[in-house]
Amino acid sequence: MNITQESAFRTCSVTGLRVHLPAQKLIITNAVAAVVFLLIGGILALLIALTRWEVVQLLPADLYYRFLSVHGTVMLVFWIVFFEVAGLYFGGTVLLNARLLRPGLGWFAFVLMLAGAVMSTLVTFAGGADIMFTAYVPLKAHPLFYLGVILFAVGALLAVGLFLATVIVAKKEKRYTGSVPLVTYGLIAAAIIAVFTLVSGAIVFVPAFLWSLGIISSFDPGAYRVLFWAFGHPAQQINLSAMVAVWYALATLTTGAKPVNEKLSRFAFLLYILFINLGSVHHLMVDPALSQANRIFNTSYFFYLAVLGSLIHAYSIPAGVEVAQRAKGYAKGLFQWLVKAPWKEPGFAALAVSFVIFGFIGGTSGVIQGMQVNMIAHNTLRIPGHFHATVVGGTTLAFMGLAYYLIPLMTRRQLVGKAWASAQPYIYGVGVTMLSLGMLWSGILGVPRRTYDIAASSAGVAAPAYAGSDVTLAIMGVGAVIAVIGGAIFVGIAVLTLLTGKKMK
Amino acid sequence: MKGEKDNKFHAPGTLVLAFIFLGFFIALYFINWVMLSGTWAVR
Amino acid sequence: MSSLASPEKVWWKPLCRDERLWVAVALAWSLFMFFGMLGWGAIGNQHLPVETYRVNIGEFRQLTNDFNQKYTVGTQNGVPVVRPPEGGDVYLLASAWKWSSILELKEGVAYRIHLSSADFQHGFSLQPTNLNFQILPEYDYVVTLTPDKAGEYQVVCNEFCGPGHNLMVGKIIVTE
Repeated sequence: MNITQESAFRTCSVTGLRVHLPAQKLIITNAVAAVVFLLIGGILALLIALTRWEVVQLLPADLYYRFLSVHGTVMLVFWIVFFEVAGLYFGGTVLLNARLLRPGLGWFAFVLMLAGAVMSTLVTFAGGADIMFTAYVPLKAHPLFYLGVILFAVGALLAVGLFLATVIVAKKEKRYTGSVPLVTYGLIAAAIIAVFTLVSGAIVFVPAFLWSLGIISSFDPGAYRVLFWAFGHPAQQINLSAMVAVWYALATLTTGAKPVNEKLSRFAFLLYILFINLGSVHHLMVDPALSQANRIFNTSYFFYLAVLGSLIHAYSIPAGVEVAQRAKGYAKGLFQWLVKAPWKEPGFAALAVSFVIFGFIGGTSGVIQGMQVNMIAHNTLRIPGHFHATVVGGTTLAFMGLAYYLIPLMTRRQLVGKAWASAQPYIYGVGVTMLSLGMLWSGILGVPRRTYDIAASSAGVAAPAYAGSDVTLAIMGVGAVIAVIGGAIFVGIAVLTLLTGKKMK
Repeated sequence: MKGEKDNKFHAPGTLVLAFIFLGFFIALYFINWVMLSGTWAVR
Repeated sequence: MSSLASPEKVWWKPLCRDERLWVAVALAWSLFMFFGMLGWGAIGNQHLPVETYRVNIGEFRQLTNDFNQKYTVGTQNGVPVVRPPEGGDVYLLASAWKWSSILELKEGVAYRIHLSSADFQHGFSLQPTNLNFQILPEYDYVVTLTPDKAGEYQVVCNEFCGPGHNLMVGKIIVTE
C-alpha cells in the first residue's frame, strides 16, 4: 500500500492546492457526465416549456409527456448527482490535501451510475416510461427503467461511501490538522443526507422493479408515495446542503470571505442533517391516510428548525463577504461593501444571483406551500415554480459558478470566454426568475402542472378557470428561452475550455 | 486579527439585508394564508 | 482561515451581538410558523382532511353507482348530473379519463365527498376556487366541502394519469 505516494500528487501553481491525480481524473469524468446530462435536459426544457406556453404548444401530447419524464429524471437526478460526486471527491481530497482512498471503486461507481442513467434515459425516450419522474404506481414502466434507477442509486451510494471513507482516512493519515474545512463539512452533511436518500430510493425502486416484472402482484399506491418521497425530496436536500457549501466556497474564492462563526455555520448544517428530511411529508399533505399530527409535525421539519438552519446561512454568508470587503477598505455606510463587490467575477455573480433566487423565491415558496396552504398549491404549477427556483436558480447556478473555478483547476486549462462567463449568471438568473415566477403565478391561478394543455378545462362552464394565465404562461415561456440560452453559454464555455482551453503550467 | 478572539465582527449591512428578507418572507406567509382562507371551507 | 481550509484549532466561540439577535428572531419566526400550522388546524376554516377508509375498487364503484342511481336528476354530455341530499355523503369516482358524475350542490351546505380512483392516481382540483386533493385507488378519502358561492366549477384532474390526462375535466354546479 502506497499510503504516501507523493508522485500521485501535483501542486497547483495558482492556488497552491495539492491535487491527487487519480482523484482529478474521476472529478473531471463525473463532471463531464454531469454536463452532458445537463445539455440533454436543457434541450428538453426548451421543448416542454414551449409546449406549456399554450399559444406556442410546440410538441404533440405524447412527446410532451415523454420529454417531461426524461427532463425530470435527467435534471433532478443525473446532472445534479454526477456533479455532486465530482464535488465530493474534490472536497474530500483536494481541500484536505488527501488521496482518494480507492480510485478503482470510484470508477466502478461511475460505470454503474452511467450505465443506470443511460439505461433509464434510453428506455424513457423509447416510450417505455411515460410516467413522469415520480413514477407513481399503478402507472407502470418497463422493468429496465426501474433497473436503471437502481443501478444509478447503487453507484451513487458507493461514491458517497468512498467519499466518507476518504475523509476518515485523511484524518487518520494526518493529511490535515484540526477540523475539516467548512466547505468539506457541508459536503459531509450532504453525503449523510445522501445515504438516507439513496437507501430510500432502493427501498422504493426495488419492489417497483419486481412489481413491473410481475414477481410482486401489487404495490400499494399510498405506501409508494411515502417511500418515494423519502427519496424524492431528500434528494433535493442533498442539493441544498451541497449548494450552501458551494456558496461558502464561492464567497471565499471571489472575495476572500471567511466564515464569521464556524460554530454557528456548522450548527446550521447539523440542523439540516437532523431535521430537514422530515419535510418530505409535505408531498403527502393532501393525501389520504395520514394523521393530522403526522402532517403538521413532519412538514414543519421539527418546529422549523431546519428552516432556522437556512436562515443562519442566509445571514452568515453575506456577513462573511461584508467583513472581507470592509477589511479591503469598502467600509463607507451600510452598503459600500456590496456596491464594490466583484460583480464581474463569474463566481461572485453566480453566488449572488443563486443566493437571491433561492432565498426570495425558492425557499419562501417551499416553506409556505408545505403548510395547509398546500391545499391551494398541490399539483398546480406553483410546485414546479418553487423547485425551479431552488434546484435551477439555486443549486444549478451555484454549481455552474463553482465549475468556472473547478474546470481550470482540474484540467489545467484557462477558462475560455471569461466575459461570457461573467454575463452568464445574470442571463441565466433573469431567465430562471421569469420561469419560476410565471409558473408560481400560473399555479396561484390554479393551472395544473404536468398537463399537455389547459384548453379543455378553461372552457365550457360559466366561470372559466385560470383567468390571466395567458400572460403568466407567456412569462414562463420567455423565461425558459432565456434560461436555456444562459445554460447553453455555460455548456459552451465548459466544453470549449475542456477541448481548446490554453494549457496552464 | 483584531478582535477575532471573542469573535466580534462588524457587518451591519448584512443585518439590514437579513431583516429585509425576513420581512418579505413574513409578508408572503400572510398573503398565502389569506388566499387559503378565501376558498371553500374544508374539513 | 477560510471556508476552504481547516479552521484554527479552537473555533467554538460565543456568538456576537448581531448573530444572537438574528438567531433569536429567526428562531422566534420558526416557532411562530409551527404554532401557526397548529392554530390554523384549530381555528381556521380550511382543515387538512384526514378521514380515510380502505376500500377495494369494486366496492367503491358499487357505492358510486348506487349513489348515482338514487340521486340522478339529468345528464349533460352523457354524464349523469347528480343532486345529493343536503349535507349527505357524495361518491365521486375518478377513472382514466373521466369523473363519475356532475355534482349539483347547495351553497352554504357541507357535503362529505368521498374520493377514490378506479385505476391510477388522480387529482381533484376544484377551479377557479382552487382546492386540490390527491386521489388514490383503494383509498376512500373523505373531504368535507362547503360551497360558498353559487355558480359552475371545474373539477380538473391534476395528477398525471396517462395520455388523456388533460381531457379529464368534470364539473360541480352550486345552486343558491
